[in-house]
Amino acid sequence: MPLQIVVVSGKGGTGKTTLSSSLVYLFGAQKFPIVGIDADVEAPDLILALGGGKLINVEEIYESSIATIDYMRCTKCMECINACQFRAIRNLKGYPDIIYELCEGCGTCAIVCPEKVISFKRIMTGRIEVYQTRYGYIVTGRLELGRRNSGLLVDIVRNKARTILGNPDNQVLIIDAAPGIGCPVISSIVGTDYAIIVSEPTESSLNSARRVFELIKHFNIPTGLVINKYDINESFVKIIENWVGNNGIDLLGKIPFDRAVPESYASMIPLLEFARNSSAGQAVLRIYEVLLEKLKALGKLSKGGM
Amino acid sequence: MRRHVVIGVSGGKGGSGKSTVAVNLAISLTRYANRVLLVDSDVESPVDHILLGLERMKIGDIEAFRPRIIEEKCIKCSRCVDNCPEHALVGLPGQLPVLMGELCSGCKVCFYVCPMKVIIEDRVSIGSLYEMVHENLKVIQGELNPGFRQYVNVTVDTIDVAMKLRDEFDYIVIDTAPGTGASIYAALSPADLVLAVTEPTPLGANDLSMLLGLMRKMEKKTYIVLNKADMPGGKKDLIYDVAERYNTSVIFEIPYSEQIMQVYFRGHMVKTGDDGVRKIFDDLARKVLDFL
Repeated sequence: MPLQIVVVSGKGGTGKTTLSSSLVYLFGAQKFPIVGIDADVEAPDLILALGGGKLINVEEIYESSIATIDYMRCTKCMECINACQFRAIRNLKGYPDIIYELCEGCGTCAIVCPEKVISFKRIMTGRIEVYQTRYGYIVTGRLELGRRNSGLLVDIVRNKARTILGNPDNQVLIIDAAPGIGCPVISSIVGTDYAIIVSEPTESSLNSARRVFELIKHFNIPTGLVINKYDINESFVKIIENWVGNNGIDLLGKIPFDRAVPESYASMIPLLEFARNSSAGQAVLRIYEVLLEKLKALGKLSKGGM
Repeated sequence: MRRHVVIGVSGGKGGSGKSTVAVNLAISLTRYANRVLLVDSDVESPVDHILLGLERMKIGDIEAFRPRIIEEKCIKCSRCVDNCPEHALVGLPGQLPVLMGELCSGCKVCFYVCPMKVIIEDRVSIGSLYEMVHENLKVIQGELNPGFRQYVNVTVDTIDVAMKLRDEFDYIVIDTAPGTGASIYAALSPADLVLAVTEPTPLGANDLSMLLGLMRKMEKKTYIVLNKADMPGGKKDLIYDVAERYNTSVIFEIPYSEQIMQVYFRGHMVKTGDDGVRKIFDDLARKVLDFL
């Protein structure tokens, strides 16, 4: 079984992708067979944070379906509008009109339609892209714009990522999750070995971290937390540390605010290559060491790289 | 009757400044209007109450269908199991179906296919609705309950509740989640104008172009607000290039300022007085009004 680590945050923009790309870089540098998974399928950026790579495979995924109505035979009884639990059918000038973006393809409308004039067509859920980078493989999901089924696409992306290297020993999968706590985040967390929450020292960030931790707890996954930009609001750090301590979460480390971070991703070079000796770079290196210790203590990591 | 105007605030990338812009734009608009409604539709991670520094009041639950099987009357035909699109109902023919609640989307297929009509409707709370009021600003906020997958439903219902109040307001500002999927579609559907808040990085530019693609599909008039415009290492050109590619423009640049960050940390934006920060967002509000 590969070692699967998921990076989450609740709130967006706290530094998930910065940390995920650094972990891909570091595990790769230690010769672990590594696959980075971009599970933020509505705004995938992991490959950019690693400076791009060679696109070696694109697969179109057709796992979504949407209802279509045969208007020649529709009697406009509107039973379908009443039955749809997703508000995906509206009354448009006396006709039931399917809003594609909100349709789950569940089939309820077709079952209640007395004239049996509703059928389903398969549509594209999104794409899966596989990139080869200097640091390891990256598998990215890209949801069709405005589509539901983001959780489904995350499931497919994770399955794809597991097969790429042919399941060698010591394989490590780093999952860069979407912000939030909804369907795609649940799909990113399920079945992982360790979760890392990235939080900034602000009330709104901690509030979101608490919410995502409720999810992680539900799945019983050991959890660590990284405080990013800890020195921009130092008085709040203690509050996060207390919460971490009271909930059995490992404090993996604190990253200072450092110009090297925005500069590294503006130049699309991984932080540790761009400025390894910067204060943020050194902090990330220490976090990696602490993470390895925690994983070893949990029995999740038997030996170093090959 | 005066027409209300709906302004959506989105951007694609997380942490680009959507909530900061939405909250402060709403506060600044209260100076130019009688009544302003702010809708926090980032139901997975709603924080506008924290940024505003306001106590929120729960005004209701957002519910979804959940099947309840009257076991003694079930003939164990497994029609519900066979038709459940999420495989949330499990069991073989001859066995009583078992519901895996965390997989249930609440679609109600089982209810309709049961030949004995022994599946009855239960309701489960998947989210909460909150309200805040400060002078002539009202806030409606939706929040997904942790553990539930139905973030799109909660977004749709939050927007629905808020838009039912539309006639009471001059301006409605909708703060959205990050992303470019169905919840963003739902949140921005009522918008007359969309502000795409972004930052001058390759990641910001990438996510911005995805959002602008969705807005083009939705035929929404969209303008770009460039946050942290002069951040260290920032690349403004990337954003201006995307703007040109999508035939829109950057209408406002927010400076990278310690002062805005401090206001953000303090999280009491309604109490932010006539300092430099308020002036920036008053300027933004006037600019937005010019475009309407």
